[in-house]
Order: sequence, then structure tokens, then C-alpha cells
Amino acid sequence: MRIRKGFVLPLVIVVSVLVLFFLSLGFIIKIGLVKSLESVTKSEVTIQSVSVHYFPFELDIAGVQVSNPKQLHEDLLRFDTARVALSFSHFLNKQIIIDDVQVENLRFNSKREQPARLISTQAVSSKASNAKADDASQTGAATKSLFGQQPLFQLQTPELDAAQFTHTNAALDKVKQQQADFDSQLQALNEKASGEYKARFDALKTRFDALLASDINSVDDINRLKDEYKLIETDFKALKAELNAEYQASAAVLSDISASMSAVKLASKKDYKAISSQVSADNIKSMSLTNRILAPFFKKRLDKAKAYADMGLQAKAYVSLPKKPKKPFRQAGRTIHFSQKQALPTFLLRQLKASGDTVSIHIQDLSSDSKRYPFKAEATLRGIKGPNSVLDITLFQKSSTVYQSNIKLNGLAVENHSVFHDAAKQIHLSSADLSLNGEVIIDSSAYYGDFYIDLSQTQFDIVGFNRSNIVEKLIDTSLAKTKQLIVFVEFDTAANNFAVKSSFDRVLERAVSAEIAAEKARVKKSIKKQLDAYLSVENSAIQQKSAAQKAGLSTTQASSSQNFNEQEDKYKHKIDTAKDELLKKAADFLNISF
Amino acid sequence: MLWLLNQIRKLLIAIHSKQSPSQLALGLVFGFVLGLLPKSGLFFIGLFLLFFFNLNIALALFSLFVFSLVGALFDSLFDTVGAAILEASFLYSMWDYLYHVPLVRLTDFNNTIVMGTAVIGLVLALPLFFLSRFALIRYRKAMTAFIEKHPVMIKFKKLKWVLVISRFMGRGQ
Repeated sequence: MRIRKGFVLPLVIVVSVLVLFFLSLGFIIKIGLVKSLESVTKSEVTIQSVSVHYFPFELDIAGVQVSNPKQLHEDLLRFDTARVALSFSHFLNKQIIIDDVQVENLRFNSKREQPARLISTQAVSSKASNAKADDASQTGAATKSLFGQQPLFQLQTPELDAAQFTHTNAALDKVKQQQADFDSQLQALNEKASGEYKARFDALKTRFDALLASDINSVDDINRLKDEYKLIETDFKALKAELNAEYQASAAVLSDISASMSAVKLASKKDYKAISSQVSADNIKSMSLTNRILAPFFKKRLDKAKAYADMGLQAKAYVSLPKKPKKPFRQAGRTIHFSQKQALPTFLLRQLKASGDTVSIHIQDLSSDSKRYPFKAEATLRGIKGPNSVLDITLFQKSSTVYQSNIKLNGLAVENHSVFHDAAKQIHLSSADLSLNGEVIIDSSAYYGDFYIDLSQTQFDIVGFNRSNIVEKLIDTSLAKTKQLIVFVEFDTAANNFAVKSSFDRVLERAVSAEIAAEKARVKKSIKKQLDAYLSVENSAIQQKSAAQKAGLSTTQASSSQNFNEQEDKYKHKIDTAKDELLKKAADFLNISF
Repeated sequence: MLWLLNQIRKLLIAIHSKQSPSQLALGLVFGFVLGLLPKSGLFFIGLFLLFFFNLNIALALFSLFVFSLVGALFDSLFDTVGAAILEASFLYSMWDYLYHVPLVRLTDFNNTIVMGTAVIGLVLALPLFFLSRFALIRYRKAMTAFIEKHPVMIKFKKLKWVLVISRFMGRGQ
């Protein structure tokens, strides 16, 4: 069998390319590391050099600086040298076996000589949006995204205009009209009291004076005067009663106004309902066009999105269409594993040592097979910038099966800065404590059962995703309810987005629903608050006017009654005197007669 | 479909070409073994080697295509044979050794179907080679005589323009 001559040249080319590739592998790894770290941190990452040694396969990484995008004068992480010894041949078996990692002079949050640059404008916008979200969260006006920069759902909190309260305004107008009517009615009554009623009263007075002045010349005169007196008295009482009745009728109008105020309350409830449903409808309309177009294709996700939208929330469906498993053309067969010598696990980090002025980390046998490789780790972080003090932590140590956690926090309240879940065995240090601009989650549940590890799981996010309290709480509570946790984080670098998928999806989903319900309640509360504020201002003006009108009515009525009473008293005295005179006149007349 | 037609055309050309029957038979056998193999590690190694040897590639690709379709029908047989070989106690230490050699694992030899197809393919390769070689030699002889004597061919060869072209191509009588 002869070798084809035509294939010699391509073979030479392939070999040359391979040689070139191996010669420049250090440079390629350096570029790859810088690019991938920058895509995560969105800020400048500097690596001085990466050199590759092939026998044994080792990487020497020197001068690594990972800058902090929020503090461009600071490095998140910096170390002088790192030597990574790994098994190249196992890569071919899809295994990552790292024999040793030695990191020297590791520092966190150290000052930079020159400020770092941000890698993309998205970093700035995300920073701005995070800051905005932070501000908003203080006032309780925003929902943080669960899935990175792109919000899964976003609440619209409308700024309501007084003109939108149509029912309330109509009811208020009615009340205001009633008040205006009452004003004119009261004025007319006062005018009537000082005009018509006064004239009638004066007429009675004239009649009474005439009565007193009249002479008695016969018994008939006496009887006539008696009748006339009774008549005048009756007329006077009738006049008084008539005026009182008029005032009472006016008082009834004021009661009507109070009743109308209750109607305003009912009208405001109508407005509240109408505006709430309008906000919901607007939110559905504002769902992105893409989502609406893709709706039929992403039914499951869309149903969820619709559910959010129906609840009055703007929804953006995070779509990931589950691929239908193709029926294989050929059978898969069985893969037989031979275990006379135990195969190495899929992932094994035999040893990692990192040291620096403030840090000392020692990890042994971090693997995907914790039974055969019991994990041991110790980390001491000293003098790392915390919110108010120096932090001195020994992270944890693990025996073969039982965790023994030993955390010392100097000057920091433990309950604020570390969370333990017995079920999930999670140690969680928030970004504020470590100033790592992100979170460190060491999730020991991964050491049970099926182990799945990747960097995105171990450390959810370093920069760019400002984990909100909501997410933190959700994950904490969900973890507490999840016996075995496997978290997959799918990064979509093109969309600058990622999705968290895990075994506690359902738990998380329920928690998300609860959060949505809370958000929905918050929107409604906001609408109600605005409506109540408007109503309160209007109510207070109306009530003030009503009170003034009531007082005015009482004053006028009292003054009118007093006037009548005074006149009555005055004439009572006059009548008494007149009675005596009349009796005397009558006696004189009778003496003359008899 | 066009590719397939093209391969068939090339195949016919190859059969009637001046390549030796051994080269043709080797191409057929190579395609046969590769066609049976599942399209994973060992297959790609074989495909790589295919282009290095001086054999008829058209015939190899054609037989690869045909036996890929045929191979799927016998997967249960391959599975049984492969499992029997891999689970044979006297071979265990060898498999265990190979299992821990990183590059060998790339061949997926520890898969029952891969092992079954490889073994059956290699066992049948030698008889197939000689059989196909023999058949090709017989075919060429028989066909050449048949075509040469066929009245259509005789008339065809007498056509003026055929004579002109034949002369022009330097193959005239």
C-alpha cells in the first residue's frame, strides 16, 4: 500500500500549523484569558505573560490584574505569579485534572497605578441601571431582574394625573356645585330675612302699636282688641316658625353635601379599579414585539410571560426552546467502564495554594467525586476592606462527610454577613463584606450525589449583575427547600445575558410568583396612594368650606332667632304695660256704663 | 442526491478506469469498514487515514455511504458481539490497560457497537477484499468483451464524429 504523494504537502502544512500553534499557545491562552475575563468583568484585565511548559505541562501566568468596573482606581484581584500544573492528556478524555496551582502575592481591592478602562458601553449602562435600581429599591419602586441585565419582568408604576380620576372628579364637581348652590341659597335667605321677613315683622309691629293706641268705647271694642291681640300673636309665631323652617331646609342641604362626600369615596374606588386594569392592559401592550411574534414558538415561556402580564406586569419572556430529542439513526450501544485502576473524576483540583499579605487559601482535592477525594479547604482573609472594619475570616474546613465551619468576623455582625443553611450547607459572603464587587458562593451541596461544577456555578457573577436582595432572598429560601442542588448557568455573551437553570427552578418559580404578587400589590398601592393624596387635598378643601358654611348658617340662624326673641321680650314688657292700661280703660268704661 | 449521482458516475468511471482491481477493492473494503462504524472517534481516525492511501476514494465513499445505511440494520448484532468481546474475562486486563491510555479512549473502543462493528468489519474485510477483487476482474473481462461486441457499440464506434474525437484524443484505432 503506497502513500499518496499529493498528501505530503498538506501534511507538511498541517504539521507546520500545529508547531506554530504550540509555539504560540502561551499567547493564545493569554488572549483567551483576557477576553473571557473582560467579557465577565466588563472592565480591563491585564495579564503580563503566559508561558507554557510541555514536559510536564504547566502554565506560568504572570502579572494578573482584574480591575473593578465600579472602582476604576482599584483592582478586584491581583497576583504576581500563578503556576498551574495540569494534565494535558486528560483533556483528551474530557477530564480536567489540575495537579497544582500556586498563586503568589494575591491581593484584593488594591490600588491601581492608572485607572482601568471599561470594556464596553454596556458596562456603563448596566452600572447606571444598577444605580437607578438601587435608588428605586430604596423607594420601593423597581423590580430587580432575576436574569441579568435584561429584565424578566418590569413593573410600570404610572405617574397619575388628576385628570385621570374621572369618576372622582365628577363626584367632586357635584359636591362643589352643591356647595356653591348652598352659598347662593344662604345668601338669598339672609336677604329674605332682612327684606321680606323684616317688612312682615314691621307690619305686625305697626298693627300692635295701633292696637295699643286704640280707644275702648264699648264691650265690642274690648272683644275686638282681644281678638286683634291674639291674631297678632299668632301671626308673629307663624312668621318665626316660617323663618326657622327656611333655615332648617338650608341645614338639610348641608347634610346632602355630606352624603355626596361618601359618593366621592365610592367614585374614587371606581377610578382605582379602572386605572389598575388600564395599567395592566398597557403592560400587555408594551410587551416586546419580538415576544409577541415568537409567542407561538415559545408557548411555555410565553404562558408564563402572559401570566405575569395578566398580573399587571410588563413581561419579557426569556425564551429557550427545549430541543426535541432527535431519534438517533443508530443505536447508542453501551459504554463499558473498566475500573481495575480507578479512573480519575471529571474534575479534580488536587491542590491550590494562594498567598498574599491579606489572603491565605489552601484547597485540596476539589473534585467531582467527593467520596474518593474528600475536600479540604482553608481560607483566611485578613484586612479585606469591609463596610466598617477589618475582616478576618477562616472560611471552612471539611472532613470527609461533615462540615465544620469556622468563621470569625472581627467587628462585623455575623448575622448580617454570613448565611448558613444546614440543608444546603452554604456559606455565603455578600459583596459588601469583601468588596469583591460580586458574590462568593461556595455551594457545598454540589459535593453530594451528582456533582456538576463550572465556574459560573461556583461563582454566579462577579461583576455586572448586581444581585438584589430579592434574588438573594429567593435563592436562599429556595436553597433551604432544595435537598440537592444542581445549578446551570447559561451565558449568552452576545445578548449580554444569562439564564439560571437549576433543580430548584420550581421552588424558585414559586418564589418568583410570590415576588410578582408583591410587586403587583406595590403598584396597586402606589396607584391608591396617589389617588388618596389627591382625594385628601380635595376633601380637606370641601370639608373646610362645609364647616364654614355650617358655621355661617348657624350664626345667621342664631342671629335671626335672637332678633325675634329680643323683639318678643321687648314687646312682652310693652304688652304687660298695655294690658294694665287696657284693663284700666276697660274698668273705667264699665264704671261709666254701670 | 446530486452528490450521490456524481459518486455513482465516478464509481462507474473508476470501475472502467485503469486503476488496478486491488486499489478498487481496497477502496470498497475501507468504505465498508468505515460505513459500519458509528460516526465517532474511530470512524474519524479511519476517514483521516483513507485519504493517505492510494486507493479509489470514489468507491470508498460510495461503499461508506451504502454500508452506513446497511450497518444501522445490524446494530443489535454489533451490540451483542461488541458486548461479548468487551466483557470477555480473558480480555479484561487488555481493555483495562487501553482504557487508561488517554489517546486510545478517543476511539470509543469501550462502546459495544464500536467494538462490534470494528471486529465484524475487520473480520469481513479480508474475504470482502478478495471477493470484490475477483468480481471486479471478472466483471471487467466480461463487460469489456460484451461491450466491444455489442452492435450498438460497433455502430457507435463507426460514427464519424466519434472517430474524429477519438483521433483528436489520441486514442484512435
